[in-house]
Amino acid sequence: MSTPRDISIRVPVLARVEGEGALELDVSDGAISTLRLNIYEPPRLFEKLMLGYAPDQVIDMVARICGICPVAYQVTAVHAFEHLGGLDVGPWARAMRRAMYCGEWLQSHALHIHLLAAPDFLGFDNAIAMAERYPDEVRRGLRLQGLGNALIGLFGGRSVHPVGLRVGGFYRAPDRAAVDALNRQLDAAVADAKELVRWCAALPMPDDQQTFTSVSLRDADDYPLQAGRIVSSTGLDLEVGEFDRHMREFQVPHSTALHAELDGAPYLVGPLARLNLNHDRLPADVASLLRETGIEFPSRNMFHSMLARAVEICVAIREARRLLDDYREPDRPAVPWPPMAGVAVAATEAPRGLLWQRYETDADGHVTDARIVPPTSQNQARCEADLRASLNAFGLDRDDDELRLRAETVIRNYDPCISCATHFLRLKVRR
Amino acid sequence: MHLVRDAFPQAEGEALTAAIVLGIGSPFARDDVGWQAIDLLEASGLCARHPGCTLAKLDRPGVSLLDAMRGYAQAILVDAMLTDDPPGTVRQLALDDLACLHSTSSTHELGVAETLALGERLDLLPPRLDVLGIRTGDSLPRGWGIRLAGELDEILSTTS
Repeated sequence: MSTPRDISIRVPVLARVEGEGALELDVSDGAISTLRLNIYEPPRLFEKLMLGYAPDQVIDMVARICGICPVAYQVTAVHAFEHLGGLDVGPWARAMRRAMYCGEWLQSHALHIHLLAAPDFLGFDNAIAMAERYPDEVRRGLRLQGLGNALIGLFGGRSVHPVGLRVGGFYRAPDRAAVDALNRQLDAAVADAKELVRWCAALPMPDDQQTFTSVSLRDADDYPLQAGRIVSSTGLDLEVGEFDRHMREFQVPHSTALHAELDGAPYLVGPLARLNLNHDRLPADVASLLRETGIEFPSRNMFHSMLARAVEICVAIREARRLLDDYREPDRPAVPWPPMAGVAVAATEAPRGLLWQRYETDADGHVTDARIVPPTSQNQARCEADLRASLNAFGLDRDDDELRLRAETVIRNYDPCISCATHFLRLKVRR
Repeated sequence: MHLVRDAFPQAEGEALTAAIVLGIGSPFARDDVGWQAIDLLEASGLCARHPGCTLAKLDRPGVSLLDAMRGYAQAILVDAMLTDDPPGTVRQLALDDLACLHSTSSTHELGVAETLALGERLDLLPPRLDVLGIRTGDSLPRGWGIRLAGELDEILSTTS
């Protein structure tokens, strides 16, 4: 019988994720004894920074939480404040926000698939190396990402930390000529999006079946994005305001980002959870395209997150085009919003999953308490459980480089946004 | 300082003179030098001296830097750098020089060096590309903007 090796692997910083963290893995007697996703990025304290500010100031502050998904933070916040007074912003603002949000899914998913995750599955260190062999695919990714950015910029003035949204609607409506130009780009992108679904379905993926709870919004009619009830694969069906009765956030010593559990167990949010729970809400043509791949949803293979992102790119392009069809500028882009005291709650589907926010306001409408539950922190406990299952299935007798790559691939598959959550990878294996 | 007037005769046409100077930066840790550079170049009348030249600021553009350069015959990037030089030093950098700046860590987006490497591989860079690094610091010496404008004048005057 061979003596277990004492090995220490260090990956100083995990590449191709947002934020800073490390993985610690102890293997003794052929079994994992310690596995921690160690998030050491300093806390960013946004929930306290916002206290005392008015809702329209908060909208600009939450945009700074993330450079990739600012629209998600902004739309969730405006919805919360609007729900507080029962404000109906009308069909134009609702539709345009959904179109803008589609832009964020499009740019974030295209970036993740092509530049961050695909190199893992195709055997490259990074997208630059992958571009040598797959130039057309990488160009496709850049085109789709650029289109998503353009869609955000159409409504937000700029794609990073946009400034167009306000409580009650938008500061201004885009003009018809700009929308027409974007519609032509959306029409041209349909072929790219369909090809992307086929490409992702054909990527060499590990067949790693796991048991997990999916959680997402579920809309009455549409694929969920900015409205709906919170549902789970365990049968929960909740008003958005009821979520924190089941979801518990808690601190763990090795992470500056909170962990979360749903009814005492880890759970998954994000593209795979959304598609698992809402595949029947896909537009017919996208559902047909997905059926052609032969991959069925709900899926228990976490690596099908890539395909789910590609499917959601199709949804985003189709939805944005539908919503912007026959576009007309409104009489006014926003309705007045009266400040009031109360508790404001909302949830939307950020690219990385369910984003839940809760605010308390005083009579002037200023924020007296804020709570933001981002998707990456909700996924952390699930990601650790996934790592444990994936590495066991992969085989702990593999060499350190193989183990490290598989661990990084598992983590990147979640497209973690640690800055949003703090809130990567130094891998230390001790056996 | 090189004051080049009418360096590009109109007869040469826009295609030959169209250039964009992109100041790249962020509000943090003295990384706004690229933005300051654009303000100083605008004040120096660079675009009046070089018709067809456009100035723009970018905030950590990631791969959208490639979009920002698209359609231009020439792009000049101005970004903060940290070297052993005194603050305010302006250096013209080759793409190969940037290799040491590759930093694929800690961000979803690619940095300038990685984006340019990707653009080169995908043949998405403008026909002429110059990268100017400005040694950043707590206080930059007076006159660094004038030296920068001189560098820009020289680069733009040699465009043909």
